[in-house]
Amino acid sequence: MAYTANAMVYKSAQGFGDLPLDRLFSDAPEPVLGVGAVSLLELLRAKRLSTIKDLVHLPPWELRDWLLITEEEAILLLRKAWSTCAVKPVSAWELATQSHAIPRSRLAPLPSLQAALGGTPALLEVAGAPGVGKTQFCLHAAALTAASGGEVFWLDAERSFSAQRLLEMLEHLQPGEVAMQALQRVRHKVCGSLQELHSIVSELSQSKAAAVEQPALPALVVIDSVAAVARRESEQSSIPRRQAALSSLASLLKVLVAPSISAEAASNVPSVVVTNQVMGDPSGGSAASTRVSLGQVWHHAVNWRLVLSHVPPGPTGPGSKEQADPFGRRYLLVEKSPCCATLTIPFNICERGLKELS
Amino acid sequence: MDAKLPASAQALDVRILHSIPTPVADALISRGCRQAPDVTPEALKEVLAQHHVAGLEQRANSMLSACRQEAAKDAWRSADSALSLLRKTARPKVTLPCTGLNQLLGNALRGGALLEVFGLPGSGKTQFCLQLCAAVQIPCDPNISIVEAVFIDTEGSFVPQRYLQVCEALLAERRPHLDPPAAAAQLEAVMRSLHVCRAYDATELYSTIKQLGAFIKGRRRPVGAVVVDSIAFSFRHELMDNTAQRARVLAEIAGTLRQLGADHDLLAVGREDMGGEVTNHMTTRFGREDTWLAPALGETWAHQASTQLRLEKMACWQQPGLGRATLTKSVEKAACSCAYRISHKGLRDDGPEAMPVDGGCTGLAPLWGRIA
Repeated sequence: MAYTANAMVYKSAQGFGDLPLDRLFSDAPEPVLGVGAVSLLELLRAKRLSTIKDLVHLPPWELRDWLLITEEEAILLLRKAWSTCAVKPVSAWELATQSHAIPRSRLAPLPSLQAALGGTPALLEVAGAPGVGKTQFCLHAAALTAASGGEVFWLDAERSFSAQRLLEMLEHLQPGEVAMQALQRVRHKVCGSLQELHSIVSELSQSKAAAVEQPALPALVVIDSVAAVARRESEQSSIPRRQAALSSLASLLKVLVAPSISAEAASNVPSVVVTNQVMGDPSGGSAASTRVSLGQVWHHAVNWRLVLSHVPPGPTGPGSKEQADPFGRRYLLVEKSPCCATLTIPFNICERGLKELS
Repeated sequence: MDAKLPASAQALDVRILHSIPTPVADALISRGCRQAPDVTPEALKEVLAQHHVAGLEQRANSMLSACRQEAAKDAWRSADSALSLLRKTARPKVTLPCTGLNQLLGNALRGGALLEVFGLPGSGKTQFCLQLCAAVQIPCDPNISIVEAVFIDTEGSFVPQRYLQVCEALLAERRPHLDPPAAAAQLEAVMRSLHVCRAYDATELYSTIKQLGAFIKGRRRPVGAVVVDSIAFSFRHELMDNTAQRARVLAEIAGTLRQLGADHDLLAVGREDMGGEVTNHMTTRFGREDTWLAPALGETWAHQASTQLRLEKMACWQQPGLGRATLTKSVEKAACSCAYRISHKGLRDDGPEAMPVDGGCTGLAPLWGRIA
């Protein structure tokens, strides 16, 4: 199925803009500008405006010509729509104290990374060469979350999920029956296309906007991997379309990880871990140079990018398996972050999961 | 010679008046009312009645008074002289803690300016925004109190803890004599007067910017800067199928930001002025023969900002956080660049001061970093 840019696909998650127009005038039964609210609505509907969003983007002069009013009056009318959709400013102080109140989630397998993340929910991208430990990272994060009582939603595009391995990690954290109970909290769903992924994430973010009291969302969402679905897509659709779809997906994921305004729902914010692949980079000079796939639009869209590699960070990018250290030493590089400096953490993978090396 | 302009300020064509809708203007012209002074109450009422307008009397009166007001404006006399504008810019401006960037940007850091920052992922655009906000909020002059600022976040990249860190470092540099409790109180005041708007889509971004004027007027203290980080993100996947609408919405956003800057200039007396600021993504364009890197959102948007700054990360693994800022569009300066370093304190100097770009003057066109 070809990817089409219809209104359904790019629906925003917050929703004010998608409300029908009559919600705008429901509180003002008295006539607006000498015209009754009902006839005004009919006029606007006749011009194919159905949602508040349509009115928001309307130029004032166009509304002026339709309703035969002056431009100032048209702007007054538009202000009604603007003020409905406008975001209420929150001071940085309130944001800082709010994020202090959120219980710290412990999902990062490596202590140094956990310190850099600070425990607030975030959209993390983990990229790296095949076999470097992307899925291990996700499994370890899932084990940590499940062990601490949180739920995990695993969206699998590569069919690389292993319940066996997850149980092994969980048993190192909490032996016996408790580990089996924790395994119950991890849900796995196979996801075949970008379209499918998009609709699942969109459903999650809408339930976040709707649900206030009950924790309807998992504590961790894992997407392994976004490159697998996006690359399958690119054969059928053009690159700009794919970029737009990825940007839209990122926008929905950001709605998921955004801190809630209300205090009751503060604990109901999931973290998202997305994995990405690497590909050969012809512009890198050396034959072995690689770079993270999916291009710059996606790179702009993720706030945190962690690059896993077999070789210490250098000019050739993440490197490949052939250059690996014989003792299994790997490196995690915090390549992009909104709040922490570039950081390299050496680690290896053992039966417990990822282990930080000094 | 008398400087009196031909009565053109008065004799505006009815078709270009903001207060007269186009169908009404056409009907007026067919009745012989070509210019604003010709419009009579009788003719206007007649035309509106013809269009079956409800509340005829009231509508005709309001339209007529709006039309008269518009025609009464004297564009020539009310315009500012260049001298008065020059005196205006003699006010204190925003000073960044990085001298290289200060020299590079010069007057672009004054009131009413629209500054665009673009760069590849991870080049420090968000860090630049945070540093600029902190520099606006904590003026160099210790006698000036904390200034307010607005940060519109479309990417979710505003981390309050990071802003706290940047402000703490800048407070320690600019107010070194404060004792710890007073410094903590100042830091809280700074954090309380930064207003963060998290806009999730293009509709929210547009509405928020449109309503910003009312918000700023409602504040008791002056607002020093409006930062939008980033303008490109929402437009990467929204309004895609309607390029004309997207271009108009972007132009409207830029116009509103400039207007906010100019309006605030009139209100603020001897304080920091308003500077609108936006960040943009850098993207790869696919041409017929080659690919190159360019700021996102295309040529229409590139016209909007009067100053454009490109940030790039230096490919230097021994020294992380080192970057280079290049002025790619400016009214006052030739293209030049400077180095900066992103540390835990924010953006700071690194290396020699502003020097000419290799290859000399590149003219007004933005520099496109070509990929070989």
